[in-house]
Amino acid sequence: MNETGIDRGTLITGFLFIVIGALFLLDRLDVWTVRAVYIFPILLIGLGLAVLFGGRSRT
Amino acid sequence: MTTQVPPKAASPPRPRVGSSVGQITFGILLLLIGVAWLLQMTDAVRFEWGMVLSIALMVIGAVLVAGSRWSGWGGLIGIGVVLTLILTGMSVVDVRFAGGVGDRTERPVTVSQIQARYDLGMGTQTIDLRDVSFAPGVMNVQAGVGIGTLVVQVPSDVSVQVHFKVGAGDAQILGRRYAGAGLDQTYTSPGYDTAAKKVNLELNVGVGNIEVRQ
Repeated sequence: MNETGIDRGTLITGFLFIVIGALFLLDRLDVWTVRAVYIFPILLIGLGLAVLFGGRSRT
Repeated sequence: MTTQVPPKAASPPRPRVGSSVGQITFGILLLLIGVAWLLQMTDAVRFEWGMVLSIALMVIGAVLVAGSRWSGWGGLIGIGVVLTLILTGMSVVDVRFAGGVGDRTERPVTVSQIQARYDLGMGTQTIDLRDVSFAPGVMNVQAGVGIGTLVVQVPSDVSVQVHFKVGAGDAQILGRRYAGAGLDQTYTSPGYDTAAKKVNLELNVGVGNIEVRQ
């Protein structure tokens, strides 16, 4: 049986990009104000999660 | 009796479709950004580049989520990180690339010719209001330049209130000089409250300088 799975690192990074992109889009639409100082910690948290839970999960 | 253990089957190689899909995604993004840029240069459409890059980042995120079953996404992740850094930088200095590139001079002669807002992505935007005969009341004008210089000239018979923001650079407002990063200040000319003719300026430059002359 072939082992296929989801690369959780890629998954987390993808979600992170979607969230950051959405935040910046809301900022540009003047719906929400992004404070850039929060972006780097969020990026670090996401990278940390990607490293911790990275690898392939069995499905 | 000896039993032969069959050799363990080699695990199938992890499919690396990410690099080719990532390449296609990157190509499509470049294509769309190029078309958007061309349309903006021809004044057919006006884009706000922060929005374009934000949407591009979300598209990359969606492709990564959808393709997390495969490997080979290193390039696309790198592009996403670069986009995040660019968007963060644009947010820090509040650069808004709307309105194209180049040097522009607007010289209205009547109040009705004054636009509510003037935008330029990169270059020098000059707004010369000296030929306008302002009626008693308040006139609001907004202007923004992403990277470059914003010059506003106002007639001497009006009182001026200027709210200005400069991400990085300086501002010279009616002879007063302001410098530094993240300027966000308001200048009010003497006698503004009692003046009959008032002009309110809302000026914003990401990187560069603002000049208001009278």
